[in-house]
Parts: sequence; C-alpha cells; structure tokens
Amino acid sequence: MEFSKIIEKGLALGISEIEIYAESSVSNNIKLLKGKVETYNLSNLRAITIRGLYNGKMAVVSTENVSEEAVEALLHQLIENSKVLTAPEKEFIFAGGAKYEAVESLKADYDNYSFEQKVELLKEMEARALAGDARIRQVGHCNFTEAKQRVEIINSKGVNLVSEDSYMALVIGVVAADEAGNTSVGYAGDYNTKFEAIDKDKILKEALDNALFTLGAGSPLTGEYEVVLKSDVATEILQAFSSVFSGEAAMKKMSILVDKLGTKVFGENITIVDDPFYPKALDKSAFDGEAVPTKTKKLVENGIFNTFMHNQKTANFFGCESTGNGGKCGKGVRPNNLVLLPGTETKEEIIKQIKHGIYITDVAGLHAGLNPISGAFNVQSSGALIENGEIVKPITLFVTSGNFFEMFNEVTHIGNDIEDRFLGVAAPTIAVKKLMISGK
Amino acid sequence: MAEFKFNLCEKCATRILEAALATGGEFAEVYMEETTNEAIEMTSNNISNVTCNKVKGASIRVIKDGTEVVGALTECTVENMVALASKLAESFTGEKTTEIAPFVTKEVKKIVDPKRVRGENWDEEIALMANGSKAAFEYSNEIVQVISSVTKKEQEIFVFASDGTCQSDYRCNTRFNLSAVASDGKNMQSVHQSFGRNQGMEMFEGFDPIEFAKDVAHDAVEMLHADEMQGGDIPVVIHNGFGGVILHEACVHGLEATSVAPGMSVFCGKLGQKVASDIVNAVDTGIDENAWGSINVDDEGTPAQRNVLIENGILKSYLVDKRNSKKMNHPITGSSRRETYKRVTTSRMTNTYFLPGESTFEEIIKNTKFGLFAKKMGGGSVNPATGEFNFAVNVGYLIEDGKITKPVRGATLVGSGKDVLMRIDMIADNLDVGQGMCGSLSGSVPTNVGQPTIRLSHMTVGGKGGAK
Repeated sequence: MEFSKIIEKGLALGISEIEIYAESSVSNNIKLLKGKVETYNLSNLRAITIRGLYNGKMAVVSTENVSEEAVEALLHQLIENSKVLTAPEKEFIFAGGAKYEAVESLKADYDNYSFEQKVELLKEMEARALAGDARIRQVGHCNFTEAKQRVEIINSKGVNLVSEDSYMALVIGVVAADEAGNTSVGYAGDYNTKFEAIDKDKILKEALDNALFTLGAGSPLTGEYEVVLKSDVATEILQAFSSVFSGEAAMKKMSILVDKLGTKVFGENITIVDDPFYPKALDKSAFDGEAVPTKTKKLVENGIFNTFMHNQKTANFFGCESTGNGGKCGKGVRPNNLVLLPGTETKEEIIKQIKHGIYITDVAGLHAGLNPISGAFNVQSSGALIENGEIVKPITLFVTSGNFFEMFNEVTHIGNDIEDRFLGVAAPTIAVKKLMISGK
Repeated sequence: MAEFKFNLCEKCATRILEAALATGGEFAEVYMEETTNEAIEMTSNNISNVTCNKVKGASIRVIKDGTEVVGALTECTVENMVALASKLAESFTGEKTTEIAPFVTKEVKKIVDPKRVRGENWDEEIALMANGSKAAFEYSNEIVQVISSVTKKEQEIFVFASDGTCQSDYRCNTRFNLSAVASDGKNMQSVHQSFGRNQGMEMFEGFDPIEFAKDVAHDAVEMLHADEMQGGDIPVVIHNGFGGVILHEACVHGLEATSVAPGMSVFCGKLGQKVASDIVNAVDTGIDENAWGSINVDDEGTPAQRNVLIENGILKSYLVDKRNSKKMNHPITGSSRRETYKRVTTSRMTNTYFLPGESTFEEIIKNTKFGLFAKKMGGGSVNPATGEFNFAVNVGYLIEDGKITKPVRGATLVGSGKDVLMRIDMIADNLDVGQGMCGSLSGSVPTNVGQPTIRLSHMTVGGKGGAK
C-alpha cells in the first residue's frame, strides 16, 4: 500500500495527525572459516512504523506486511490502542517546512567488486592473521558485510524526507593460545565506504594485539588504583551511561541529573557534545527519528550540565525545544554523535605519567554490571599493570568498580585519540585518579 | 501425512526447494513466520505506551560442502520465494544431486499450548499493572518511580526442508515486568523483576502482582540503603531461580555448536571428561510444560527434547543443530532457534538448569563462615573462547558466622568456566527457574535459567567497597 494512501486512510478513519517511518535494507554478509565460505547471507527487508494522534493520544504500530488488508487492520488497532492511553504528556507530529543541514549520504562502492574479490579479501585476512604470530591458533570470525539502508519519513503535516546510506564492514576475531593452555581473544574491524580503503593492516594489528596482550595473564591484587581507560573502553562506558542525558529518563524521574541543569556535575576538564556532524563520525544525519532537524549542542561544558537530549514530547514536558534526538516515531531519545571532547596528550604520554596503576583495554558485561540510574558500575575487565610509566604485566579476570558521576570528577588526563569513522559514541583514552579493582 | 501452512501447497513447497537444490545443494530449507509483538506499559500509574508490531517473512537456506547460503525476504509469495531460492543456488555451481524426501509431519506432543493470548480489550493487563504499580508505590515513600509492562510475542512458524521436514509450531511468550526506582534525594537504585511463560493470559491464574511488586520495591529500598560490596576472592552462595545464570554463562554458551564446531570454546573435545565437581548435574530441556524457554519443535522442525549436559560432573552433550550435527558427528538436540526469519537459525538454549542436590538452603548458609549470599542475580555475558564470564548480583547480603547479615549492593562475579563449576561444593534441594532473554548469533530468544541454591568454595567478587 502506498504511503500517501495509508495517510489518507488514517485521516479518513478519524486519526487527526499521522506519520509513517519506513525502512528498507538490502544487505549481504560473507562469513569465512578455515579458508571456506561458512555462511553467505543475503537479505532484502522492509518495515513501516505508523504513529497517529487519535483524540489527542498517540499510539504506534509497525508491520513488515504492507498489504492493504494488513495495514488497514493495523490502523484500526492503532485507534483501539490509543483509547487505552492515559499518560498526560502531550505528543506531537512535526510540521514540514523546517530547514535541514545539507549532509552527504554514505555511498559505498562495493557493487564494483565481485563476490570472489570479497571472499579473497577475507581469505587474505585469515591467512595473514594466522601467519602474524605463532600463538594465533584460529581466526574464529572473519566477516564482510555490505548494507544499503533507506529511511523515509512522511506525515500528514507536510514532512517528506528520505535518507539513503550504504557502507561496508570488515570484522575479524582471532583466538590466541599458549603452551600452558591459556586462551585469549582479540577483535577488530573497520567500517568504510571504499573497498580499497579498508585498513587491512590496522585491523590485523589491532586484532592480534588485542588477543596477545592479555594471553596468559593472571589477576591483579585487590585494591584502589590509578586507572587508564583505553579509548574503546571509555567509549563503551560513556555509551552505556548515555541515558543519564536522556530527557525521557529525566521525565520519568530516572536520571540522577534531574534538577542539576546549570550546575557543575563533572570536573572542569569534561566537555561532552552531541554533534550530528562531528567530522570523525561515520554517520551524519540531518534529521532525527521524528523528522526534527538535528543540531550540535554541548550537553556538558567544562563540567557544567547544560541540557538533556530531547525529543518533541520530553522537550514540551520541560518547556524547551526538541534537540533533534527523537527515536523512530518519537520512541525515546537517542544520541546522534555523543563525544567526550579529546585533549592533547597521546595515549603513550598519559601512560608515561602513571607511577603505579592499571591500564584497562577491555571490559565486558556492561548490560548487567552497570546501572545508569545509580551511576554505579562493576564490570569484568582485562588490561595491564603500569609501573613507573611502563606497561609491565598483562592482567585479566578482575572487576573495575566505580561511579560514573564520581569518575568524571576525577579524570586526570584526556587523550587525543578519537576513533576514525566511529559509530554513534566516542571518547578518547582517559586517566582516572582512582577506581576500585577486585582481583585476587 | 504432511500438513502445510501459510497457504502453501505441497507442489509450491517442492518448487521452491527444487530451485534451491538446482546446483547441487545437499540440503535446502524454508522457514516461514508470522509474529505479533504486543506491549502495554504503565509509568507513574498511567498507561504510557501500547504497541503492536507485526512480523512476517521467510528465510531460505541451501547447504553444500559445508557452505551455507541464506536469504530472507518479507514479501513471501511463491514466485518471490522461488526467485530467492534460485538466486541462492547461483552461489554454487554444479548439477542437481539431492532428491527431496517425501514430506512428513511428525506427531509432536503439545508441551506448549497457549490458550487465551488476548482478551476483548486490555482490561486484564491493565489490572495486573495497576495493582502492581500501586503496591510498589505504597511500599515506601522512597519509591519514586514504578514502570510495569505486559509483553507478548505470539509466533506461528512453519518449516519444510529437503529432508522431508514439514512442521509448524505455535508459541506465545507472555511476560509481566516491573521496575521500581528508589531514591533518598541523593542516591538512586533500581530493581527489575519479571515473570513469564510460553502461554497466554491463563498463566496469571494464581499470580499475585501485589506480592510480586512489594518484593521488587523492598529490594530497591534495601539496596538504596545497602553498603557497597567489598571486592575479593571469597566463598559465594548463589540463590535458586535466576541464580542459574551462572550455568548459562559459565558453561552452556560454551556447549553451543556455534562455539564448539569452529573450535571457539574451552569445552571443545571435553565430551566424557570431568568439567564440574561430582555433585553437579545439569540439563537443557525444551519440554517443561508451557515454560518460558519451551518449544514444541525447534526452528528447524525438530521436536524439542530433554538433554543431559552434565552428569555427576562429566560432560555428556553439546547443543547441536542440523548443520553442525554433520560437522561435529553429534546427535541433534532439538534446540535450534532464531529470533526471527531475519536471523540464521542455530544451536541455542531452552530451559537450562542444575538439578537438585542433597543439601538444604539452611545447611548451606549455616556451613558458611563468611561469604556473599547472591540472592537475586542480574544478567551476564561470556566469551566462549576463553570461558571468561561475568554476571551482576542485583540483591546481595553478607554471610557471617553461618548467618545472613547485612545487605550489600554492587557486586559483580567474574570467573572462568573451566574453574568455576569445579568449585561447586554444596547444592540444595530447592530448584527454581527464572526468565531471561538470551542474546547470541541468531538473535534474542526466551530462555529459562535455573538452579537450586549452590555454594562455590571461592570466586572473584568485584565491588566498590565502603559504606554508602
């Protein structure tokens, strides 16, 4: 069923305002194992999400079946569902005519390369990884993905937007083993739009380094340490805590930053931006999930908390304007490109200045050991001991404990290393005065 | 007898498989699905969200020489499926070698039988949430937010394959969730708990949302005032029910064929060997009546079964799907699962738990001089290749001189799968299960985790330490 027809039909049924968020994607994934294609996966998918205001209440439905019959039944369901809603917050459908930044869409060149060339690339990666070090026992993951995604937002108030992006990704995961029977794993990957530009050397080096770095490591002694968080680790932690800046969490009284606007919440050296157009970001989007133009803002500037990220509903609740952070059809709030702004020191320069501390290169279990509401985190970690500015001994299977709000008041160094072509969230290497480490 | 679904006839099914096998594929399969996901949510005693999401599509795969080619599509007309099957076959070169076996639909005992998926309206769901929310708010004035929801995934699947498979299944994973947030103006703590079955609304007969909510609110307030756990290597008692997440993370992910077949698990080559202490027995079973992780047939059409994984400490079985069964020369375990047709099906867990032991809960506590009592567990994760895992303790207490003493918060347990099961030295007789969503290669699927109360002689416990 055509989108314009769905809108007409919805209006005819008495829905006062209606919006369609349509997604379609064509993607192929090649997975290599032991020199052979293990899985070749082709998908061609689409789905539409419809939201509508009925008697002032907004309900949302979605479907992959876009036959006239199915969509009509779903519009009736939308009306029935809206009648149940009692939440008092006002909801909105955005009006057309807004000005959007001109952004260049991602256009990948993978169609110019044959299936065989992609398989050859994977074979090369696997062979080079195995040859890279005698301790590399196996390449467990060797995947090439290419994807084209299209999003359309159309509504009854004149919005009609399209974005289309394509990209490719190469990811490898290697297993290292030593004679004592210890094993460790290292992953690395690259998102790119140019097949020839995929940085094979960098992926290989990173994957092997990650695996070999902690091979045969033991646990550290329990205690408080000065800690350096590798850029990937700082990024993962920032990402896991991004909901503390969510206007929706604030509206639900589930962010500890409620009532903290304009006050100092972090150390003066901390500035966190949400910048949809951040140069190093892979994905740059001019509009959010409810067609509102995105914009750059400092969430935290020199430690002062400036603003939550808002969608139309949460902005209205707090009496301000949407910051262009609405999710699909207004579902929740999402960052565009959330970045802890980098400093000037290199990672090496930071480590040099640590007398006795721990360098954390990997964390796991953030979905469970980290609580965005309390700010507490207790996460499985691995890395190395630092003595007198030198990395001296790999360590693994310990827990790093702290509190997000306390930690960002005790950052002593901020690195200059923001990942190229990052997706969504980025932070540089940081050093923290003290975190609790539980091991032996 | 073969029974076809989704308006497909034997002739059409044959046409699709013929196209898929045209270039010498050894096995071809079509999986079709129609799913309705519904959710209703209450925030601050108001209905804040009602959603309905319809999923419909098909996935086709062809296997030849160990290579699997898979395609997914949303518009599943016969013509589209034949076209996709032909496209997949183009990945191979060769002549047709495999004949399609006659389709047979096996009689399967109905273990999962959802009756009343939805009523005329949402009244029943709203009553559950309203009673729960009210009780949680009333529990304490430190409870500042309660969010409750009822979610349902109603799924009909149909799978047919060149080996003659022709099976369908009907499931409905229904779950009641409640989160309570406690605050004293300075600190905040939240606790979440859920109750779910593979059943319709009839699962709530006998369920008391008020007691359920009070329990969650109690835990949130208790944790708000608890001290931070002091980290170290100490004895740990993990309580029954969701505590079984330790078995799920520390061991059974490493028994899934997805890790074992490519040699990416620490449990590779360990069949018949001792992997746990002698008192440990563990199963994965898809046939507990209407249980959250149960299925009548798996997503390859194999009837679900009970698999003994560990018997008296000895590893007895991996979890294996059709494709890996050939690779590993291991029987199929009836637990190949996928979140949707958009993911490629593979070996997963269903309901996984330690079997009861001979101790009692009281004996375990009484015999522990000092340690952590992990009363309610959160989720966790594992890297099967190293066996290193973690999981979070949502509600914990100290054990001192054989007694449960003060509450502690913020404990995370880490360990290595090959060590930790060896350290289980007491198992109680109070088996219970909890409901989780397990995320892996083929997406997020409902699984029960479970166990009686167990004690580990020692384990690394992480925590920030210090008074709150």
